[in-house]
Order: sequence, then C-alpha cells, then structure tokens
Amino acid sequence: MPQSEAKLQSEILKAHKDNDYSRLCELYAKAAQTRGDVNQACFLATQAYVFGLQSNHPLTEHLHSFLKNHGREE
Amino acid sequence: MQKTDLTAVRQSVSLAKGLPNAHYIDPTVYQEEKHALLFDQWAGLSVAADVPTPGDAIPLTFLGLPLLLLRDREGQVRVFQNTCRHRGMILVEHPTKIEGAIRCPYHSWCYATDGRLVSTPHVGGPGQNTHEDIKRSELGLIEIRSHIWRDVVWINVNNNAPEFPVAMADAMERWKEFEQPLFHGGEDSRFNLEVNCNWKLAVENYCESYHLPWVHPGLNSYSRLEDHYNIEKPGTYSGQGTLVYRQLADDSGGVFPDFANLSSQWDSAAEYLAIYPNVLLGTHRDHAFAIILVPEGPEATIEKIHLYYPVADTDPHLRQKNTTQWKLVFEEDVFVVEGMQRGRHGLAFDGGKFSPAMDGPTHCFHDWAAQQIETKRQARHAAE
Repeated sequence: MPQSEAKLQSEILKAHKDNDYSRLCELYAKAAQTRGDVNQACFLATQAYVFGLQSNHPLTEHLHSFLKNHGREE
Repeated sequence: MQKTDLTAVRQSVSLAKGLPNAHYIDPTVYQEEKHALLFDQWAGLSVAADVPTPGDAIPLTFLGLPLLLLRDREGQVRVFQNTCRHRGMILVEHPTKIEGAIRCPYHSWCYATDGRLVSTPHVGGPGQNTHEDIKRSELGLIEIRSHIWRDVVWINVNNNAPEFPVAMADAMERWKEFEQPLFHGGEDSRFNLEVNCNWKLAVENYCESYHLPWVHPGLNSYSRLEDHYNIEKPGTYSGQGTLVYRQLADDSGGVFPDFANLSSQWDSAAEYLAIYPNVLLGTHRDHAFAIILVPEGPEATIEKIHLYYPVADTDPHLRQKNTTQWKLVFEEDVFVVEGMQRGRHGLAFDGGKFSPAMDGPTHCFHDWAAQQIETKRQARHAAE
C-alpha cells in the first residue's frame, strides 16, 4: 500500500473511532478521488455520501450528483 | 386468558366496586390494558420542551415500544418507531442532535428527520445504492400518530382514536381560556418521581380531593377540603378544583405574571384534571403543570413532571420555590400510591367501596377503564 494511501486509511480509522462523521465524509471523498476504477470510486463516494448526509456536510450534494451520474443513486 | 369480571365496576358510584386486584398486579391484565387503555387512546408520551430545537432527538421506551421523539428540520415534533425498516435495528440509542439524516448504525440506511428513507448504501451491491425491489417511498420510518396540546406530546399508537381535537374536545373547551402559549420553566422546572405502583393508582389519587387534609396537611391551612369540588366528565377526564388558590410570592411579595385575559373565576380558582389515560394536568392563573405517567410494568411507574409559565422569562428563585413546593406535595403522595399497590396483593380485597360524595372522580376513571377494556374484549371476541 502506498504511503499516502496508508495515511488516509489511518485517518479514516481514527475518524471512525472518534465518530467524526463530517471528517469521515471528507476523507472518504478524498479516497474516492484517488481511484481510477469507477466501482471503487463509487463505493468510497457512497461511504462519503452517507456520512455527509448524517453530518449535513456541504460535500453531500456534490457526492449525490456524482453517484447519480454513475447510476448509483436516485 | 381468564378475563376479570368488571360488572361491579360499571355500576353507579354508590354501588360500584373498584377495579379488581388483577388490574394492578397481574402481568397478563397489564398487557391487556396496554392496548385497551393506552395504545388505543391518546396517551401522553413526553413534552415538546424535551426537543426544543430542530434536530433534537430522544429515544424513549413506552410500554416496551421503542420510540424516537424528535423535532424535524421544519420544527415539527414527530414520533417514530425507533426501528430501522431494514433489519429492525434500534436507530438512536441516546439523546442526540441530528445534524442531517438519521443513520442506522448497522448498514447505514439513512432517514430524513421527517421520516423519509433517503439513502440505502450498497443495497444493490458495493457502490450500487439502489435496487428495483427496494422502494424508498415505501420504507420510510413508521410514524406514530401524535398531537401536541399543552406542550404534552400525545400519541395514539394503534392509530384508531378519533382526531385529537374531537377526543379531547371537552377538556379543551373547559380550559379554553388557557389556550395560550406555555413556557417551560427549564431545567429547574422538571423532575421525575419513580414510584412502585401501577400507573392507574397515580391517576386515582390525583383526581380526588378526599385525601388532601390527611396526606397534605400543609395545604389545609389555606386550601381546605370544603373549598374543593369534584370534576367528572365521563369517558374523558375527571379531577378536582379549588376555589381558594393562593399565588406563591417571594419575600418581597413578587408573584408570577398571570396568563392573559383570564376571567375573574380564575383569580382564586385552580383545577387539576386527570386526562385519561395517563396525563395529569394542573392550571392556575400564573402557572401550569403536566405530569406524564409512564408505566414501567404492572407495579412501577415513572411520573415525569413539568412546570410552565405564561412568559418565557420568570424569576428563577420564585420558579425554584414553586418547583420545590410542588415536589413536596407530589412526594407526599408516594406512600399512598405505593401503599395502595401493596394493598392490592391482599387476596380478599374486592376493589374497595367508594364514597359516593367524595370518590366520584376516581369511580369515573374506573368506569372509563372498564368500558375501554370491555369494548376491546368485545372487538376481539367478534374478530374470533
């Protein structure tokens, strides 16, 4: 695993531990951007979207559009 | 199940007996009453002041039913079953502020605060959040029918009672002068009492004045028994009133402001109504209170007490004094309701003999309870 990916993974785990849902939205969105594979990107964007919904994060609308454009969300 | 005989309960007050012991101690009868007396009615659950701002959410258990009381983003107070439509997981475990959506902690299905299902992550496979068989419009949170009156959140779990303003028309008419804003006194104006008795005994004790000179001797100096009157509205409520309400004052004679535009009868009167099934209300010219009786089993009840004022900004010292005074009165009743509870384990107790002059409000409640139970039994019998 590349160092940057490992660091992101570590930050995600910490945010889960801290129940920091806004941070989780941001970190999963960041992770989604690193993936060239659309399925992997949509998986991670979904994670980001859910935590965005929960925390009312400003990224939520953008994530919804991304998922909808890929046929993954209503 | 062996049905209790309620024939004697339905007699006139001069002939009637009280509800049989089983209605206070038997788990099977408790379950029967859960539906007939609470889930079929408009029962008190909580107060709107418990969720003062949008997003405030409190999980509650009401007779075993997991509920979620919240104020949605538009400011409307709602009650939902606190259960995810996916796998039945409890959605909210602790009082919280919902910033955006309610996320189930299990598979993260998300609900808007108005109950709509808004996200079903990975439901069609990883990263695929829709599926043709998952129709979100059909899978919103189960909303429990609710209504706010006098800040009390009333719920009709079985969704079969008349509309609230119809069901409560008589009580609302009686106190129509008090249909004006109520301001919860805040943290110093709420307290709970845990009592070892069936919830009905708290109703029965509350709605009669017969016990006042014996159990509340402190009231007797200014609120004598002969200054009280019975209130009976069969099928809806009963209670007591006093003609000599005296305002609480601080050391310099300061009092709470009055509710606006009250008629002169309220200068010195106050009334205390047991609104069937489980809400006890009191009103005076300068304050009001609500007691919600939460049954915790056949022989346990939590009394949730809230005090209200005509304006938002009242003197905190006077408010505390008022809370202390009422707490003392309500605590004086604890040994009575707990004693009656233990008394109902006396095998030969036959429901008791009412004073036709003094126990009318209690009999009125028993008659209502018996009628509701009989109606439920008849409906079940017809269905079978």
